[in-house]
Order: sequence, then C-alpha cells, then structure tokens
Amino acid sequence: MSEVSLSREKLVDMYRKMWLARHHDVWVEDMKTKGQIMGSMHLATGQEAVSVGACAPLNDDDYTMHTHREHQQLIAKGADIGKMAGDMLGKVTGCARGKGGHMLLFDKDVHALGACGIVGGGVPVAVGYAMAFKVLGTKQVALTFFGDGAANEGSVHEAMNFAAVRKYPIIFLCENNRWGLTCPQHEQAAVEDLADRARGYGIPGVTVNGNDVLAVYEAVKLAVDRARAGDGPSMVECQTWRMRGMGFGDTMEYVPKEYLEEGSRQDPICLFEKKLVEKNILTVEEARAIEAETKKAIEDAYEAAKNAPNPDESVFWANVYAAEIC
Amino acid sequence: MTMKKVTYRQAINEALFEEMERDPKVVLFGEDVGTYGGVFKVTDGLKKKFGSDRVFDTPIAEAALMGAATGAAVAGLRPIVEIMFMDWIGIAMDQLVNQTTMIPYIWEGIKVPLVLRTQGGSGSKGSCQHTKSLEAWIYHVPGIVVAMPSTPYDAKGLLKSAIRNDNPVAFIEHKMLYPTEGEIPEGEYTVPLGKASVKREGKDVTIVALSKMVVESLKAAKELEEEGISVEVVDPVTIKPLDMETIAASVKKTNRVIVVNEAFRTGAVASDITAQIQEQCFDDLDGPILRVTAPDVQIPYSPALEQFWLPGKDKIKQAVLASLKR
Repeated sequence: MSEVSLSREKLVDMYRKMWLARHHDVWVEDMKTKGQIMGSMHLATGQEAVSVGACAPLNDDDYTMHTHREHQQLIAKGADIGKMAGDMLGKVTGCARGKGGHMLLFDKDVHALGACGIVGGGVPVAVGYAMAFKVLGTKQVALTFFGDGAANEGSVHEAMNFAAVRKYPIIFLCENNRWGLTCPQHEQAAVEDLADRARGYGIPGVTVNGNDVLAVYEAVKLAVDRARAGDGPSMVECQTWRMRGMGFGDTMEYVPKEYLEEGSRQDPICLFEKKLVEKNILTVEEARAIEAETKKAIEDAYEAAKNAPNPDESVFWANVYAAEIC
Repeated sequence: MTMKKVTYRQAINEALFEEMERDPKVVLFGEDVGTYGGVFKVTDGLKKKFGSDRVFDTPIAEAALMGAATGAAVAGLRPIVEIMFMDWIGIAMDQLVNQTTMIPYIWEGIKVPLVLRTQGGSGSKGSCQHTKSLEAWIYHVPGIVVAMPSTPYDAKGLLKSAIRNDNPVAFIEHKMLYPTEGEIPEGEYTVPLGKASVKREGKDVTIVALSKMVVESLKAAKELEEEGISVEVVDPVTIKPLDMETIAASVKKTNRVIVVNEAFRTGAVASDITAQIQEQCFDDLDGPILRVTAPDVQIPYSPALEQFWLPGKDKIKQAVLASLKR
C-alpha cells in the first residue's frame, strides 16, 4: 500500500467517506431485497477506494461525471446524502425531485454532474465541461468516471481523442472492475491494462491498484495538477473487484470463486484502516466510532426519504423546456 | 428601415458574427468550420476574427461534438456546434437524446443553452449519405426547439434568437438554399422562435411547407394564380414547438390543406403536422389533408433517378388541384 503523506484531517475524511459509501450500498441493497426501492440497482460494494481516492484531490468547484454504478462516486464528491436518498426513492426532496432515480443522480451544489445510465455516454459531456473551463480561463478541472465496459464505446474514444487534441483539463478515470455486464474483461478488450490505450491518444496513462485509496489519490493528484497547469488530459485506470452482480438480482454464477475470494482479501476499507492504525493516525476505537456514525447517517437519510412527500404533477411538467422559448 | 440583399449563407454568417461579437461566451466548433470556413463557407472569417479558442476545427467525431457542446453549455458557455451533414446525426443522436435534452428535465436547475447547426436537403446529387432530411428524428425528442428557416431574413433573425435562447435549439439549414437571395434589414433585428410566417396570402388552399419546400410552394402558388387558384403558403419556420395558431387561422380561411415536407414519407414531420391539423381544425376542413413528401426510398445519385425522389413545384401543384378536385 502507498505511503501516507496527507494531513490527518484529510485521511480521516477519506476513511469516513469510504464507510459512508460502503454503508450506503449495503443499505440500499437491503432495501432492494425488501422491495422498498423500485427499478434497477447497480452496487459498488468493495470499490470504495476508487471513488474516494479519485475525488479527494478535487476542489468543490471541479466537475465530476459519473457512471451507472455511481452512488459511491457522488458520496465521495460530497453530495448531500439526504437529497440523494430522496432521488433514490423517487421523492420530491431529491435534487431531481425524484425524476431521475438511481441512474441519474446529480448534486449541482458540489458540481457532481452527474450520473449517466448510458455506458460511456457521459464522457463526451465531461469533455465539454473541460472545454468551458479552458475557454473561460477558470482553473477548474473535470474528472469523468467510466468503466472497463465503457472503455470500448465509440463515444469514449471520440471524447478522449478530442480532449487530447484540444489539451482540455480533464481526467479520464477508468474504474476497471474487470466485468462489463456479465462478460470478463478479456472477452471485451485485447489489452490487460486499459491505460495502455492512453499512449494512442498522446496523453499519459497509468494503471493503479484501485483498492489502495492512497495509490488512487496519488495518481489522480498528479493528473489533476497536470490538468490545472494547462498540460491537458490524463488517463488513470484503477483496477478493482466487482463484488456484486451487474445489477441487483444477478446471481453471479459466471464469476469465479477465486475472484471473489481475492476481492474480499483486498477489501479497501480494511486495508486503509490497517494503515491508518499502524501509522497512529486512527485508533481502532475511533475507527469503530466512524463506522457506526456513518451507518447512522445513511439510515437517517433513508428513513427521512421514506417519509418524504412524492412529487406532484407540477413536477412532471416542469422543465421539459428549462427556459422560455420566445 | 434600409434593406439589403444577401444570400441565405451570408445571412447565417452575419448572425454568427454579430452574436459572437455581442457575447464572449458564444463559441463555435465542428468539422472544417475554422480555417476552411465550413464546407459551405457559412462560417467563413469567424476563426480569423474571434480566434482559435472560440472558433475551431475538431476531429471527425460527431458524438464527442454533440456531447462536448452539451457539457460546455452546462458549464457556462453558449456553444454552437455544427454537424456538417444531417445524414451523420445518427452518430451524435445518443448524446442528443440521452444527454442534451435529458439534462434540463432531470437535472433540475441546469440549462443547456446550445445551438446544433446542421444542414439537410436533396438536389445536390450527393446520393443517400449526404442529402437526407432527418428533422423528424430530432423533432421526436422532448425538450429541444427545432427551427427550419426558408429565407435569408428568417435565417439570420432566427439564428440570433436561437443563440440567445437558454434551451437547446436545432437549427436546420438546407444546402440548396445557401445561394438563394433575399432582403434583410441593414441593422440589428431578431425573428422569434416558435412563430410561423405567412409567406403568401390566399383563400382557396393552405400549403404548410417546410424549409426549401416553401420556395417550391411559392413557385407553385404563382403558377396556380394564373389558373385562378388562390394559394396561401404558411411557413412554420420553427417546427417545434409548432405555431398551430397561425396554421389554424389559415385553415379556417381556406378549408383545404396540403402539407409539404422534403423527407421520407413515413413518420415525417408532415405526418405529425397533418395529425395536429386534423385534431384541431376538423370542423374547418372541406376535404382530406394531403401530404406532398418524398417516397420511402433511399435517395439515389443519378439525376435521372433523383427526380423521382424529390418533391417540388409540380407535385405540389398536382396536390393543390387534387385538393380542389380539379
């Protein structure tokens, strides 16, 4: 595991966000099992280090684009969990007032803009964010998450090449959990490290252990600094383990036992906690207190969302056009 | 007001110049729009005047173009993106359907003020991948304004309104109209989105025609006048939202309607306009609403064959006579 070089405050914040992310997906999985959440559900339990390590080097006003397996990515960016729970349950208290649901979460207050249910579909939009930052001369950067499945989409290729040519301030963050839908990576790509493709775009690319939150942080920090300095895009591939099915209800018979066993051994929260305790940054008692406090935060958010009002018909008709036409 | 004669191409070019000068947040990008000034020279001189951050050539990557325009609009620019030929809109369509038009509705509080400029239309002997009119695809999607001007006057004034509008606007030009001339004011003016224009007054039959078919309809109307038939020609100018008020007023006067649309017949915008007139003006109709469209056949190259595809003055005249049972 990478060495610790961040402030205690930052490290504890990252640890806390990893637990929030973990509890969130465990909690909504439970609700889904009980039939309390409608629609589809893509869980990232065990992938917390990617989201938290990738968002930790960003400023609040940097924009992020997310995938369809995105709850943890939004939590890592600092999205309001109460509003997120509202959207997850289709309630008026959500940022989208319940219009978007699980696959279209966003929170404009922290510039998490936003999730995308079309694999690879959000990546070109994130290039547009970076275009605006460059033209307007702000020092913001964009970071777009996408998966190993999305890496093979034409839109992602087009977007990466476009951003590279124009030297836009963007980080292409490939969250590689080695499964696209129910197919293993080797059936979808002929390269092992997807970051090898970066060379073809003329941008730096690096592959890191996506279960080591500090390794993710360090790689993304370099890419963010580079983008902010005006040196253009980078690709960071974070290899991780998908410990849940493609979607809720996927029984995962196709996943080898050894893969899941290795993923369990590489649990990112356990690894990070061990490190923090070893370095005397956190005591075990403090760790347990954070684990308990974050669990309660998730429970409270969902309890409030369950009791929140549904959107009414005015919400249905609102913003078909967001502005006057004439 | 002092008037001057310009081509449709010049009118659009003037609108782009004036709006880019007025608002530094307006940017323009696409294939060949920069140094070369556009394949039809519509963007001539803009890169030289406004610099390569605001006017630039892009890779041939329509999905990235449409997505980047969307993201740039979200992040504070007012992009004008050109898809060189409308036949290629399919590549950009996922972005348009699942991002551009989705975002303002689902991501409440976020606007997407962009203009998608493209051109369609046949008659150039361009064969079937460079001459289609696919406005119906865009028209079908909620949340976008679709404009199809037929005159230099409307083209300039309407494009200025489109650039200033906070909704996504598809601005669809016709390649055969670029060299056509018309009068425009010397000074500043705009044409409102969403308002139809009666291009010729008449009392026997109403023709509702789109884009270049307005020109063909006016030719037909002139010849029919010599036969004692008085034809009113209504140009919706903006096809979505459709100004049914102006169309209905004309139908009330003439009681007969022909809808003319240079596009494949099945699922054409003409079909929808026909349905709307039938629903709203049934009691005012003295006969069936007739459509003049292209047939459901791919567009062939040979001039000997293209004539069978193209709707135009003669087919419009036949429809008017049929409507009057002559």
